[in-house]
Amino acid sequence: MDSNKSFKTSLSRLEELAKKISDPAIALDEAIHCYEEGLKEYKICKAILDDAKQKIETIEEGK
Amino acid sequence: MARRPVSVYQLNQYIKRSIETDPILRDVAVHGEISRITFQKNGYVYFDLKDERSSISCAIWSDLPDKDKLASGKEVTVYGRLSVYDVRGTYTIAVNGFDLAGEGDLAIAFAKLKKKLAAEGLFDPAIKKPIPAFPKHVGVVTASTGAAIRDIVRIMTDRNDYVDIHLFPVAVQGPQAAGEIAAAIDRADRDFPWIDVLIVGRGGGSEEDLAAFSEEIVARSIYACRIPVISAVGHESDIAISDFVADVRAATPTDAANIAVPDTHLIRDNLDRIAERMRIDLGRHLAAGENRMQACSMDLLGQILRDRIRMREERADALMGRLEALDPRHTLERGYAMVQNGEGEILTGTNKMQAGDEIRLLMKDGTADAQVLRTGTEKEQ
Repeated sequence: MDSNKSFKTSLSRLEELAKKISDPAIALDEAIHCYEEGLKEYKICKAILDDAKQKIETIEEGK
Repeated sequence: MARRPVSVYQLNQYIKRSIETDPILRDVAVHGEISRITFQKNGYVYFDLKDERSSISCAIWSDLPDKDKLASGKEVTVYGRLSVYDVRGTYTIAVNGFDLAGEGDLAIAFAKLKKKLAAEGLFDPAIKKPIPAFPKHVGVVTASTGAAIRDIVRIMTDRNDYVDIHLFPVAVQGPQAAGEIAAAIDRADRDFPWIDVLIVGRGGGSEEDLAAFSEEIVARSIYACRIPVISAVGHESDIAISDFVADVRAATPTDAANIAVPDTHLIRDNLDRIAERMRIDLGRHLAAGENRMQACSMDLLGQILRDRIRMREERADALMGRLEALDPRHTLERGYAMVQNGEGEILTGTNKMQAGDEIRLLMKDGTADAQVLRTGTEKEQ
């Protein structure tokens, strides 16, 4: 399903950016850029989690 | 005709006497399959002996060798006498000996089907589908009441406040069970393809209670299902054919719920941890780059970034302002005029001008041609 994909995509992008920032050798400009993009992905992940309204339903015969 | 009533106790006493003194019932040999066996701490063993049509309760109150070899599903011939429990009006075979006769019919059928389906490749590990890491929709094929659905909903909602649960209610035991379970799996696969993972199972019960999950029709439906299936039948020690053909076998329905969904509380913590680490790492870069940066809060970092952007914007604005100031049209706007000579050169002073020269004044809204009357330096004016 889409949410699964988009959450996973955002999360792995975030992890990738976090890993880049953790490299002391990268340029400051790039670190700032990664941070800004990472923060965006972080917010997407949080929004997917927080916007969910959990539903429990029974699927009746023939419904 | 009015008959003198007896008490319940008197009736049960009479039945007890009749049965326990009956010469046939005092020494029986009965063949059947063991079901619902329980071993008490005090050494007593209770079970039902059954065939296709009927069952009778049995008890071992004496210390028989090999009684621990008895198990549900096994075929056995028991020897003993009928005993009536007059408090409840129930009767039991008090077993004083038995012969085990190999495995029971259910166990034989189970082994045969398992062998057949294995040979067809239904249990092939290579075709097992992975369970999605972050499902939005979990389908559950089980009874609408009972421990299984209760446990599954409780565990899933405790762990995960994101996932939706869709229950496909079915009979999980009895003659219709296998057909209903298979039909529900088929239906989920056909009409609800957006379901991320399907749990198929039930809570604990006797071997016969769980038998529907070992029927071929259920195995075939699980095999054909494109949605990943978790089989969750009975307790840890119970094994059903569905366990082999499903993509994942869960020991219990509770276990299935844990496997099906990730813990969103942990995911949130993990997200926050990553963001925090990024913040610290960026702080380190800034500290290294500017030497005066200390570790700072997320808000402060955001502020710094915004300040940098604003500074750049202001610098750009200032540049733009200077460029605009250089445009001569702005000067004309303010009431000044430019002077051209007859060759169209812009004159910046009076040194190239003589009385009688024709000049042109360029003003904001047009031009005016004029003649120089006389010239002079600033001081002479």
